[in-house]
Amino acid sequence: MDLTKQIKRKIALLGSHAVGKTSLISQFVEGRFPEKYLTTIGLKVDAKKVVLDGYELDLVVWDIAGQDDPTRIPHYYLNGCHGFIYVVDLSRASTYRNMEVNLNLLQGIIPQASRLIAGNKVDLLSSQELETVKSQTPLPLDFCTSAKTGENVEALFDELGRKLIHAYETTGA
Amino acid sequence: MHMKLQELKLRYVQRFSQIVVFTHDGQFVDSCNSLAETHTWHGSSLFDRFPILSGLHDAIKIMDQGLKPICLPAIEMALENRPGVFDFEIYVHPQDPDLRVWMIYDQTPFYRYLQEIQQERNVLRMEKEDLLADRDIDRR
Repeated sequence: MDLTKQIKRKIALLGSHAVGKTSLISQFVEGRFPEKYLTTIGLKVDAKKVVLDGYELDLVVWDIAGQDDPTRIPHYYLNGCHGFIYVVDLSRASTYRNMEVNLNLLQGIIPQASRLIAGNKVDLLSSQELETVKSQTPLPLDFCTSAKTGENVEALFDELGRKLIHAYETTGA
Repeated sequence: MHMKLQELKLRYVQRFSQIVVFTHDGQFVDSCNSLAETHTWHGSSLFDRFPILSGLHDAIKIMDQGLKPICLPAIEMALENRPGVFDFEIYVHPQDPDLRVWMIYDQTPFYRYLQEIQQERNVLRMEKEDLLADRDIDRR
């Protein structure tokens, strides 16, 4: 008898342009890194099933075009979103400078959503540079990832999955 | 003359738009097949077939006739074997509150043009940031 519980969850990747949202999804869903940067113009949606802690999570992943101001994201892109990953580029300060303001705005738009902060492109930094960047980000990073090498990508999505399961078990949402 | 104009207009609109009707819980009902052939959609749930619709499941289900349509601009996807960038509009069928009308507009040429411009803009912005960072390091 299959005791796995199935739940469907909508998650989104948000953040400024060219931080690697599409590449992170590509690495997570297909296990590959697109070598050429091609900006996302609006929205791409992918799906992946993840088995985690006795649950089969049917993740619908919304890849939303880079936006410096989250209030400009079309309303229905975020409607019903259960969780999101806010992605910054560790090699570009402009992508994490306003993260606190943006996350507060997002909290107002999707208050129920679980969230994680990912510092991407960790492969571009030395360990010393990484420590400097970590001390400069307005909020602590939950994960430092590399969509290129795959470092921490699965761990990032697994952790969001666990947060979604926790929210489902505690609030039913 | 009037009929001819209508016919011309219809032919033009057909080139980039498709209309799909489905039930509020996602079951396919009918389509005009202008952009994509839908014979394999019969008897299936569009929520299972299109992850983007499943992400809007609740919003689609509770839609009321008076409500504004759900509008989703610039969606990059493959509609059957037709990759492109589409605008979606979903609204309650004017003659049946249990049905939904899904309008699909293929805006690929326009969005590809926009994508090129956006891409150039993003690359320039990153280059400028790199230059400023280099200058900062030189100053130190």
